[in-house]
Amino acid sequence: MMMPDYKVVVNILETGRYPYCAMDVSEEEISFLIPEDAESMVRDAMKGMKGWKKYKDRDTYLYSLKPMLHYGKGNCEVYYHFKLSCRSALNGAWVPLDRYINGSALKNAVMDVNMGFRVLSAEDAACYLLADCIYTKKSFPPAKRDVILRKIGKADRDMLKEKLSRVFFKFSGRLLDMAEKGEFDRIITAFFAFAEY
Amino acid sequence: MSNPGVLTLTKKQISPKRYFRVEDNLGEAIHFHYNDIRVDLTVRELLLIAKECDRAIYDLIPEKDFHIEDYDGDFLNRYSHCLIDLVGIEKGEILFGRLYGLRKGFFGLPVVRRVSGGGKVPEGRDAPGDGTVLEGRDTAGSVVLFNDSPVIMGDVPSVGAAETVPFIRMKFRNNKYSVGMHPWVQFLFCWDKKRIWNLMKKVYERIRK
Repeated sequence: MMMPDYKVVVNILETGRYPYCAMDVSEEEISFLIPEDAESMVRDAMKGMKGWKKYKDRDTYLYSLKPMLHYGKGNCEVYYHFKLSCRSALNGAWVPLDRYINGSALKNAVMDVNMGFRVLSAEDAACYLLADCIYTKKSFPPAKRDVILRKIGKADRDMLKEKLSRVFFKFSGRLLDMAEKGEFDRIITAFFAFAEY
Repeated sequence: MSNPGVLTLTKKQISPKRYFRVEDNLGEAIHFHYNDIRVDLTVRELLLIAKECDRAIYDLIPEKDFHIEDYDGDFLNRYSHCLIDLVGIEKGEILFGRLYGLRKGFFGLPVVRRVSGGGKVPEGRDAPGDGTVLEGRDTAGSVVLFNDSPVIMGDVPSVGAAETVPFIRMKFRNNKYSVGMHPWVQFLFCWDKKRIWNLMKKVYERIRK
């Protein structure tokens, strides 16, 4: 991880006893899920950190979803989300995932000993990453495939199926099947061609 | 609300107070929306309804030579309001160079231009050369003409001027719906309630922005 600065924010969140967790972590990018009442504290903290620039958000957010905060420094980017969300297939606007998943996200976050901060539970992470790849990124980068498989392997099967069905409905069974078999290249096409509902 | 995979299959403002929309909620259901009413369907039920709609169209249109599969879906949607006045269908082949296409001219006014190009359209104004398509895209199937007009209704195919193309000539009661050779005159001087409503809506939306 090349961004130690975000740990300042993590420390502040923990000191302030705000629930938080990391949604997605990569070499140059990290996304946090934070509660809405932590927004001003995070803004102040990022303002105080040298070199971080706040990017203007021109995206559309639906269903009262609060716009995310996006900061960048060099090649590194940090996002602060207020709900687990993805882009709508219709017009690319951001929409929140089902309230059952969002209700569970911060409550069931777990400490990742290696990373030193809280992350989504395996079920929430698998759900979020699949929605992110299918709807937002519209592809499955190789690094994400490994993470998804790891999360699916650790997840409680029944809970994972229940949560996937809140996002992908009748396709969730086939989605889980294809992901476990590593058929990531075919998932998006199969989803948009799916008609058994 | 919680399905990010909602695709609008079609929508139509039927009148100022009546709105119809069909949505595909991927993996979940098909939704028919009519104002505040929502009907949930499976994909299979949607296809059955589509088939029944085909049957209803045939029952409504008296002309026995009219076949839905001869026409593009977009074309039927655009000109559906004309079909009730259909009194005859003529099919055949015609030299493509004798036909005209609708396009936008000065200030976006609708004008008619020969599809094969002609000396009267100056260079630099989207002047089509011989066989150049004015608008639209490649279409398989026939070109559609209304009454005795040589103007192609709907998409203009990519065909050479010297080639023949199959045509379907739709004849309407009292020669209704024909496009004259100067459609900009009608555009400027003939206003009905629907056009006035659409213009007022555009002005209102512009002011709101």
